[in-house]
Amino acid sequence: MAVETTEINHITGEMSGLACKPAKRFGFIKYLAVFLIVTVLFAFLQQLLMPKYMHGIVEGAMIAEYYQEEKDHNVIFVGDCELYENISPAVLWEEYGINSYIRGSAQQLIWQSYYLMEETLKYEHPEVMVFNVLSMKYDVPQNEAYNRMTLDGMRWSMSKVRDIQASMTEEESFAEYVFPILRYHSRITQLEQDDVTYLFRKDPVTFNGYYMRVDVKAAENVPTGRPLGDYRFGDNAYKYLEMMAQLCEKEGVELVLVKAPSLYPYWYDEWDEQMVQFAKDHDLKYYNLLNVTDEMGLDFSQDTYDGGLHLNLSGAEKMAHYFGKILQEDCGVTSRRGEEKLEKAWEEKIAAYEAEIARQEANLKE
Amino acid sequence: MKKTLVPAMLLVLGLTLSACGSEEVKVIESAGGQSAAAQTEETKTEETAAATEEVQAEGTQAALSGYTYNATYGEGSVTIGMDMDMRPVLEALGEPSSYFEAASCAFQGLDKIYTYDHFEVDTYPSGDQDLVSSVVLLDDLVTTSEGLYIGQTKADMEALYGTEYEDKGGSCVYTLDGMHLEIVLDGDTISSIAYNSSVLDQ
Repeated sequence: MAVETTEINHITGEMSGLACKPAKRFGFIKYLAVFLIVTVLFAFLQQLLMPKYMHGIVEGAMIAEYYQEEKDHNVIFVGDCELYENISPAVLWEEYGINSYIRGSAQQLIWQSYYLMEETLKYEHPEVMVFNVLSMKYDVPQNEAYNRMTLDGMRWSMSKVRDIQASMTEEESFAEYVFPILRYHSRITQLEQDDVTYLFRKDPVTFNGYYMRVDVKAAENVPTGRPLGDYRFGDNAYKYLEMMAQLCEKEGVELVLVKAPSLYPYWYDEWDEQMVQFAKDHDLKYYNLLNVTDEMGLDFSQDTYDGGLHLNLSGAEKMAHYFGKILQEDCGVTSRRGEEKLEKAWEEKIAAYEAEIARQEANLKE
Repeated sequence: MKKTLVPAMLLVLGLTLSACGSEEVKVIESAGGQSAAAQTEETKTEETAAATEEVQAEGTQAALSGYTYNATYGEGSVTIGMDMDMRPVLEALGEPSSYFEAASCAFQGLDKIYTYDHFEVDTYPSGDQDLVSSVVLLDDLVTTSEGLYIGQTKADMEALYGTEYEDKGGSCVYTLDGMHLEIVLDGDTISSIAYNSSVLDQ
């Protein structure tokens, strides 16, 4: 009887409940289709307008590059340019069998390093995490452009949310990080070939996080630091250093603090004393590598490409040679030589590393 | 529902695109007002060019505002203000006894440090110009224009500049026309005197 009623309703076109369902379903599908089209269009535009950082200033592409890695490292370095330009993971592998990665970006502030550590530990469990302490000098958010280069490349997670909240300057808004198109829409009239070429893919710009430079510019007339009114690091910087120590302790990862051997910005003795004390109080290892540049064999007339701020390839390889020994002997980091999969991966990486050396050297000769 | 959902979604897209022509567009800048890496391409835009010109114009206008330093080196002398172009300083004083330049981690352009015998002049890049970001007195053989020098006391400072300063725990900062005169104390003795542009606040 019910079937019969329904049929009658279909035939007559009367608006019974049963007869309305197909129309409603069609309407929903229509809305869904429009929604999906708009969303895809929005996402496409956003991706198109985001800076690609594939040429010139490549530092903005570094953070995202990590996600393409096999996440199985013995050692993770976390910090600013004093790490990603100063130590070569390729040498750590070749000489010590240490599989390492540098999670660094330009002027990476300590809270950004903390949240990158937190995020990294969700992917993998290294034996050691190494943090460069120069960023202790910054206690408050600094600069949107640097923030963007660190934060835009991070995958979404609560670590990224908290990182954004900790990093934003007063002029920035959270919404612009959620929808970068709100920030970058003005690029619509300035799009270049790279924006199309690298719309859906990126080329690597580092070698396990290491940014290579083979050129030489000797360090000369490096200024000493001018007197400061207050040498104490800020409370906020200390808060995140404390959080790093707690996080690593909780995760069973050894945290090692270093001051990389860059001559500028100036590293004050008063700052160093505070790091020595912090390390002592928290039972951590701290190495001020500025104190051992002779032992490392660094020659600042040859081993820097920008007058002592960062090491060039020659300097970064010397630092890897020196620090690898520390990681192995003092921290007990194990050699992974003989692991077939890893050996094969590094064989390819070192071939690319050597090709880049040859490319840069050829460019210098021209 | 039908009447609101589709227009709402299109509105979001429309607003996004229409915003492209907005005059409220912010430009990411480095501390020195130079367009930055996050928008490398933006450095080439008219917006940025206009912003740079504005900074340059401001730099020229602000050249002798705030506390200024009367610099003398060899036969030359010049009054240096914050954010002024470095070229007239170099023309007046000649080559410094020491020069250092530092590229920032990712930005184009160089911060430069010109050291003369008893003082140092720091600059930041802005367009084609290098603008003064700091003048630092290095020893007690030079004085500020008002007569203060390293080695004097806090009382001498207050006698010359007054007591309207910000106490930053170890240093006293006088602010005038947006620039800062920072006087560092070691106990009661002045150990450093620096003129700083407000660009260093960023």
